[in-house]
Amino acid sequence: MTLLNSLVTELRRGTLTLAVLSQLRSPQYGYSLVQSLEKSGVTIEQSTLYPLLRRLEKQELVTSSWDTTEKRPRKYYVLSEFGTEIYGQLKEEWEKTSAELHSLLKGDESREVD
Amino acid sequence: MKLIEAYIGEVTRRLPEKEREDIALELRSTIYDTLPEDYSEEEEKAALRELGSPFMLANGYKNWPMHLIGPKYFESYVSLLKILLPIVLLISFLSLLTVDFIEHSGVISVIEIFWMAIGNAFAVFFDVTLQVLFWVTLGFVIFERTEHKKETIKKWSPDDLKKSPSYLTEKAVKKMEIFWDLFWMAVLAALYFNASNLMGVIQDGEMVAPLFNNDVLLSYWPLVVAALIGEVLLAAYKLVAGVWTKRMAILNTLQLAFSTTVFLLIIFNNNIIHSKIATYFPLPESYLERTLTITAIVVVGINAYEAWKGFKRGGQARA
Repeated sequence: MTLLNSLVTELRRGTLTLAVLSQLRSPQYGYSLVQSLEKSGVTIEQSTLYPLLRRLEKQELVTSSWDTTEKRPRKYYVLSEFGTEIYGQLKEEWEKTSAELHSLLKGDESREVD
Repeated sequence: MKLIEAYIGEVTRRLPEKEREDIALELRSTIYDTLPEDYSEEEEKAALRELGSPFMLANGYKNWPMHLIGPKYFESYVSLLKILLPIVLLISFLSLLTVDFIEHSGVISVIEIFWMAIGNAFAVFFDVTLQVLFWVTLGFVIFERTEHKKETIKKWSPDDLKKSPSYLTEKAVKKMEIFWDLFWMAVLAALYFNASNLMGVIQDGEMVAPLFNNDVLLSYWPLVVAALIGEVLLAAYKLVAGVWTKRMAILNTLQLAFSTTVFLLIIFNNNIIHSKIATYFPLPESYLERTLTITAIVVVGINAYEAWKGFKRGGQARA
């Protein structure tokens, strides 16, 4: 079971960046991001998400700003121009990969039936 | 409230100074986002549990290696230790044996001296092993950190094989050459630190006239230790790189130049030769000076040749 767990984690790890980028087309703060991801069924550990956001900022894919107008200051993240571009390309890659994998796995099933 | 601050403290104390404040602000804001207006301690705990161990969270923020010596250098690290430790232990044992032999010869048998040296050896071995481990590890940790920073994803091509030790067999760094580099280093170090017991006129197991003024000689220890460390680091670099390059030849030359300079500084110190030795070898002063000059020329010559050899091998590697 632990082997399966680690394989699943590995499988998902690569898609997390894409999932996070997809939600950052409009500004989000940490916890709102967790919630919007969860709503779509994507679970991400908070301890993975927050460091990831900082890394994305370092890579200049997202920009951040502090909103101090509300009672509590919040740090908002949003895709940069570069980030939008990369997100588009990454999305295309993902769609291609998942289509390929889909037909591969389909082929597998039909062979089993034979 | 207190728990939250403690949690943030536990995370940030594991992070670099300059990032702490920013990450603390961010964490505080996210944690309070997950909590209702009036929260209980239970809710506070639940929010923190959700975030997980502060140690793991801090790890997520770090972007430097979490190991001392990674897989890239581990092999070179072990092979350098495998070469260096036996040499250093052997040389320190031999110098111990010699000192004991000089001190006790004629009084007790050679076998007894041998056992005595073994008895004394353990403390020395322990000390020497610690020194070697420490400096070699430090060197590799520095390699690991500096290489990690500039690491870029380079495209590998079969042409890269032409730069590998397996292709450039003539320019490949051989284990034997590192062995001899380190061997001579260890011999010289042993002579330096035991000069008052080993070099001079010895009568009946007693050093009646040491060749060198030991205080003056040992006053150079920081330079000597720096040269020794430099030599070990150079050996580590040679093992890691595996092939002679121009850069290696330059580093090799710098190391040779430094150790030669230290040597020259020592032997041309006016007070280095012990005055007592003159009573056993009544030679004119000009004779002594000439001997020192000739020694210096020979040492400089040998080292210049070694440096030149490095460039000769390093230069071809670019073909």
